[in-house]
Order: sequence, then structure tokens, then C-alpha cells
Amino acid sequence: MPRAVHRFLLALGLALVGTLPAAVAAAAAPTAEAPAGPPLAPEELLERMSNALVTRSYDGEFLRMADGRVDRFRVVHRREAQGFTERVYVVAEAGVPAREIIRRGNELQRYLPETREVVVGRANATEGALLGYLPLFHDGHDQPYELVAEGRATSTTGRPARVIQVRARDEYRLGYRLWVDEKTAMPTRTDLLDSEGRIVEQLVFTELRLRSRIGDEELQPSPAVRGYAKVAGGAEPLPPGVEPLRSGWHVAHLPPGFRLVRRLFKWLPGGTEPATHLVVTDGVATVSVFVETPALGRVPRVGSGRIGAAAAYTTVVEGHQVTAVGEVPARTVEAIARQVVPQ
Amino acid sequence: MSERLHEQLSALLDGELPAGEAELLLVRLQRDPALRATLARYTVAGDAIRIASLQAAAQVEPVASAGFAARISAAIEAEEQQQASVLAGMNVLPAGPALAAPGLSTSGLSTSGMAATPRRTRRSAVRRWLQPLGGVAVAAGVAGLALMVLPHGPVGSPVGSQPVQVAAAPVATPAVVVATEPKALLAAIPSGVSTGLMTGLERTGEPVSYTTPLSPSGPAPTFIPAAELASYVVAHSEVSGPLARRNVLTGLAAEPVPALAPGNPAVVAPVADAEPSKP
Repeated sequence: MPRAVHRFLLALGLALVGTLPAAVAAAAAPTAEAPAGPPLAPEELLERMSNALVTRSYDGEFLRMADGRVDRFRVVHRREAQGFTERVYVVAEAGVPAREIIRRGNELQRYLPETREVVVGRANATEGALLGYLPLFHDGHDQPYELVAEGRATSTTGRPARVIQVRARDEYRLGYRLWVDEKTAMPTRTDLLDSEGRIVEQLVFTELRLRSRIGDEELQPSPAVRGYAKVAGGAEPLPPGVEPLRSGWHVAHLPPGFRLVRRLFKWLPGGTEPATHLVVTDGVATVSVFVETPALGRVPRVGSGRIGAAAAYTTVVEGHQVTAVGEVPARTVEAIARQVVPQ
Repeated sequence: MSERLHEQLSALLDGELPAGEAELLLVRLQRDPALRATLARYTVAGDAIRIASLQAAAQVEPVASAGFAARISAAIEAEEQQQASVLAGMNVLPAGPALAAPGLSTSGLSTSGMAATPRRTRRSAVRRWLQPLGGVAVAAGVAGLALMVLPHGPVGSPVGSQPVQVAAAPVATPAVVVATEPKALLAAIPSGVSTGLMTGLERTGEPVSYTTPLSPSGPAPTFIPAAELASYVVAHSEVSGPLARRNVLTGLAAEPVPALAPGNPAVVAPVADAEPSKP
């Protein structure tokens, strides 16, 4: 069982972003012993789910419930030879502009009707593939997550599903309760849970179809938001070999279970120098730490924020603005940001 | 809201609504913010009950047979006894400890409407579910009501919610069976949830008051400006796993960009080694 858990965690973590080719994802799950007999063990289901998430093309509709509000989304996800193209948008009446996010290759476009802008950010080509940098999970009770099979249920898509909880063992991370479709292994409902089991956010699919072919037209922004002015946001990759003057930043002490797995460099909006991007993970949750030289006229600050499931904390270390952001509790990003030191 | 609609929402969450009806309901959901809020409330209420039940009964079996719809009906019935009506535009004192309502962790423990066990339940199974947990159901329901008036609305439209006042009620006896002590309960609440709520409230521009242990020490931190925060989140999403990435990106798409405070003065931290930025 513990080993299988590791395989799942590894697979889930390794299935990073969609740029990771399916073959890599498949290879990432060691071909170990198969759990005996039906029903499938949770770890096997989750492994199948991780695989399905990066190998399938699909479209569907889901409700996002968080903070006492419900938003209705539609998603179109097309698997491609190199990564994927995905369009996620708020369902609105025809002709009414609504927010859209389109991820194409390494470019992420956010269509914002309120400002009539499309905000564009880019990732390094290899950014999604953290293969080889992920922690190995060891046997024992020091694992940050625990898998619990919670039985069968009919999902909101009207199909049989297995309910599995990925339980966070401490308050430094969030857990999941997942409704995994018995046939397709796609997650049809995702509840994000805090370490006490309280729901932080729910994504509930009301419709989910696997598709063998998805045309380009389905991945275009809706006519209501076309023609918006492009502005830079997110990040831009650096030319190879370019690094910040001071690039040895690291995290002196990480919360239990987390490891620093990668050091990237990129431009952040408004930056006057390349920023360092440290990637920290516990195998499931990921935290990014951005270290920036403050731009001219930008006052250093200490503060926090949250967008949906992502918490952020920013502070100042030796004149640099250090910001940790990730799908973890606020205490985790704060604990990590406060421990960032130059080498 | 009609009984029929109640049933439809319940059936939707139970995965039992026929496809045609589901589509119609989704269209209604799209047009009707109050209905969306109601759905969110049901979901929160139902899951609060289930989680508490699981803990109480120390069993995991109920997921498949939980009869979510039945529990929702009962919760609604109990809730209807409450005086509070946010939809009518009244201010509401959150009645439940935060445990019952994710996202409302900042609510104080209040004296109102505690543990009104459902007067009459339709099904015996419901009674079995709710009996030890009436307080949770009611708390969740009413807390959900309070949540509903957090600013939201069709994307691109101005925030049109009723002024919200999440008042800090005097701490009284906690009504949730799972809770041991109010302080312990509050201490267990991750501050991220609180932060999120504050961000939400801040957006209204309305004065709000609440009691919450936001940060264990030091002065209240400032908020990272929304556009900057979004940039960080986007950059971060590149290295998230596929499950988490969906959470992160839909969060970005769902949250209206909050209006920044005028001038948005960044609070300079009392950090010893902080240096001013170079000219």
C-alpha cells in the first residue's frame, strides 16, 4: 500500500501541466505490482486518473463553488503531440463577454471583459516537465498525504464514480476528495479540503465528454471577447544562459514534506531584472517562490492575498521582493517566503 | 423559491437530474444569481453535515448512500424556521461556527438560531442523519446565507450585491457537535480562508466588521494588488499539477479583479534587513 501511494503521488505530481508528453507520464508510474482484484485500489484509480488528465481530449461543463458563490464554466481540452491546448471560460449568454482563459502551448491568454484586455504570459518551453526533480516518497507514516477509499457514488454527470480522499496529514497542505469516473478515470468532481476536511472549493462537472477530435474553432475565444488589446502579464521566458545577477536564492527551512525541486529564471511584469522562480513541492501541491529586484518606484511590501485556491505571501529579503504563491494554505506560503535567503 | 426548484437543485447535486432538466436548470443558474447562491448554500450545508456525520460515526460508507437530497430538504426545512433572510436584503448575523461553512471562517460564534433541530423531517433516514447534527445543518444554512451576499455577479457587470455586514456576534455556546471549544475551532481555521473572505469583502467597499484571528502576530498585512497577484498566480500555474492547475485557473477566471484602494499605498514592512529599492 505505501508504495502504491507513492506511485500515485509521483504520478499526480509528475503529470505537471500538459506539456508533459503522455509517454513520459506513463513512464513516470513505475510498472509495479497491480493491486489484486476488483474493486480497484484507490491508488490505482488515482494513477489512472493522473494518466487520463494528461492523455485525454475532452470537453465539459462544471460548476465552481467557493466563497459562497457559484460560477459555471465550460472547458475544452485538446491533447496534442506537444502538450495541449485548453480553453476554459465562464458560461454567459450569447454575445455577453465573459472571462476566458486559453492555454496554447506555453502561452496563457486571459480575456478580461472588464478592462477589454487579453493578458498574455509565457512559460519556458520545458517548464512543465519537472521530471527528475520531484521528490521520491519513502515508506512510512511521515508521508504528507493519506489515501482513503470512500466508496462509490453517482456523480453529477450521472455516471458511476469512485470517491477517494487524498487527505492532508497536516495543516501545511490541502487535500482532495475526488469523484473518479469508473470507466474513463476522469475526475468529475473535485473538492479541495483543508487539513480538517472542510471544503475550500468544489469543481463539479455536470457534463464531461471524452472527444477523439476537437477542431480549432472550439479553441478560439468567443466572438464577444475577440479583438481585445494584448498586454503582458504572468511571465516571459529568458534567453538561454541569462540569469539574474544574484541567482543563488534558496529556502533555508521548508515546511515538512516540501522540497525545492527547481530554480528557474524569467521576466515578471514590470521587472527591471530577471526574477528567480524557485519551485517547491510535496509531490502533490506546488509552491512558487519569486525573487525580484524591486522595480523603480515600486515600494517594497509585506502582504498576502488569495485568488481561488491559490494563496500568496510577499515579503522583503535583503532588498528583494520575495513572493510565495501556491495551492496551499496561507500559512504555508508565509512560512516558505519568510525562509528565503540568498546564497 | 418553489419546492420543485429545491428538488431540482438537490437532484442535480445528487447526480439524479435527467439531462434535459439539468440543462434547463443550468440555464436558469446562469441567469439567476440568487439561484447560484442557493446552490452554493445547499452544497455547503450538505457537505458540512456529511463530514460531521463521518466524524461522529467514524465510518466512510455514507458517501455513496448519503441521500444528499434528503438531507438538503431537511436542512432547508430547518432553515426556514430562521428569521434571517439575506435574500430579502436584511443584515445577517452568521449563526454558525466556521466549521459548517467553508469560506466563512471569519464568522463569529453567535447566539442566534442555534441548534434548531428540524421540527419535522420527511424521512426517517434524514432524521437519523440530522439528529445529532441539527446545529450543523442550521449553522451551515444560515452561514451560507450570509455568504451569499458576498459580492459577485455576472462577469463584467458592476458588483451589485446588497451591502453586507458580517457582524461579529458575541461569542456564545458553539452549536456544532464536532467543535470542542470556540477558541480551538478558530485556531484550527487556516488563515488563507479568512484572507479570502476579507478580500471579498474589501471589494464591496462597504464597511465590514468581523472577528477573526487573521494573523497570529504583528500588524495586519496589506493585500497584494490584484493585477500583481494574478501575474504571480499565472506564472505559478505553469508548474502546478493538472488538478491544482484547474483550481488555480478557474479561481483566476471567476474572481472579479477587486478595485484597488486609491493609490494603493504599499505598506513597508518592519523588516530589519529591508532596503529601499535602488534608484
